[in-house]
Amino acid sequence: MTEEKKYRPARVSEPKKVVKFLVKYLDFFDEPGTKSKSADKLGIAVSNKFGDNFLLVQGSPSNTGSHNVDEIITFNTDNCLRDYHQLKSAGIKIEQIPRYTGRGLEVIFSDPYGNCYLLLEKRDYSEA
Amino acid sequence: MKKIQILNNQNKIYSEAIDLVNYTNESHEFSIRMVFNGNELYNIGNKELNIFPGNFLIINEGTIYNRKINSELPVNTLSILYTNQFLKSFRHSVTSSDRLLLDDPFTVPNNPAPVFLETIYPLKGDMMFNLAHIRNLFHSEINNDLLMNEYLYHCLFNFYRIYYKEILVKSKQLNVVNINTRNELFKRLNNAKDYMISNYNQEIQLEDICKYACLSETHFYRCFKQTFHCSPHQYLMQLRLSQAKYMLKNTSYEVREIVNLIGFDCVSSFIRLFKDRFGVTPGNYRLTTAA
Repeated sequence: MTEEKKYRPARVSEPKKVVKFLVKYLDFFDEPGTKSKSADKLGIAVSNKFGDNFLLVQGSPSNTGSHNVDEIITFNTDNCLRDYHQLKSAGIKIEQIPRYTGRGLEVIFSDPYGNCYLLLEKRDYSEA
Repeated sequence: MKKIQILNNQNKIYSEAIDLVNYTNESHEFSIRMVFNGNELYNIGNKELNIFPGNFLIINEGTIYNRKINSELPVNTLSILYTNQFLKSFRHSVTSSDRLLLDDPFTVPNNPAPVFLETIYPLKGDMMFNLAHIRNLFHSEINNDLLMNEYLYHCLFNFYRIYYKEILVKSKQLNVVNINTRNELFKRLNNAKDYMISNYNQEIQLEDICKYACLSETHFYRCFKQTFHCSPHQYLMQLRLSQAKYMLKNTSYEVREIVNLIGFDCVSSFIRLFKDRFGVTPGNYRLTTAA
């Protein structure tokens, strides 16, 4: 018996292009066989190895200008600086350079379709 | 086994895995130095500094030192060496206004490079995480100067934060008005702290520490508490327990072996103190970190 994955709905513009973007630059894998529904919309499921499972549904892009974290799609990495460097080298627009917060190191960037993302390397400071 | 990587801007990363070596009269760029197992003994002037995992040492450019490893198992070391130009440029970038950096991006004032207190610092927080990434990249097949420099920049940034917390903030906690007196007193207290870190697994007497620091016992005791917010004895216990924690997580030594290695006499009192400090027994801590 396999455990059912739980997907977080994420409203993005151009979901099909966003999937390609996430697969190309951030090691996500799409799950074409997955038919999932969020609210009343069909979405495209994508996941990464850190357990971030998104259901991308058509919607208005998150607010890149004000960096409203509630509206930014957040996912995890094990090495924020490496990913930041790769994104920068690939010409991806960086909205906020890496910064240290109470939960770890994070960087904010956007895709060419106006969607904004927060990439987080969680750090357990209680052990450090 | 040695490995060195020299970046385009002449910053360097140097690593070694060796059990017996004695280097004398070395002098290099500003460097951050650490070990991942065992220990490495440095002689700087009349100071003997023993570096263990969980700490790192700063050496300024031009300081002459000896270093020695004498271990049954190879000791894995890592050193990061920064050029003066990089240090100055970093300081300029974090202390200048955005306007100035935009208007005149390529001029770095020709001030002397920063000089830091050459002491043992705790390897913790973001510095620890970023150094782990540097180590992984350094030992990988990937040769990416730009990425390595990104790490080195962040490592320096992390060090400045530690320096602020460990040196600038703590020195101001000393209740001494004259700044020169305060700096001298803080330097001596740091010598005492370094002595305790370097000999944490030995039987240390208060008078030995005071002699090393050139401070009377009462003066030392009072000022140490002001600065480090605990007594010298409590500080030493914390060091021993932290090293025990590191060993539980990163080695396969039995608990009773660790108790011997950190200079404790009694296993049961160690277990009680460990539980008081970390809220978990050594055995359970090892189980949870291994999972």
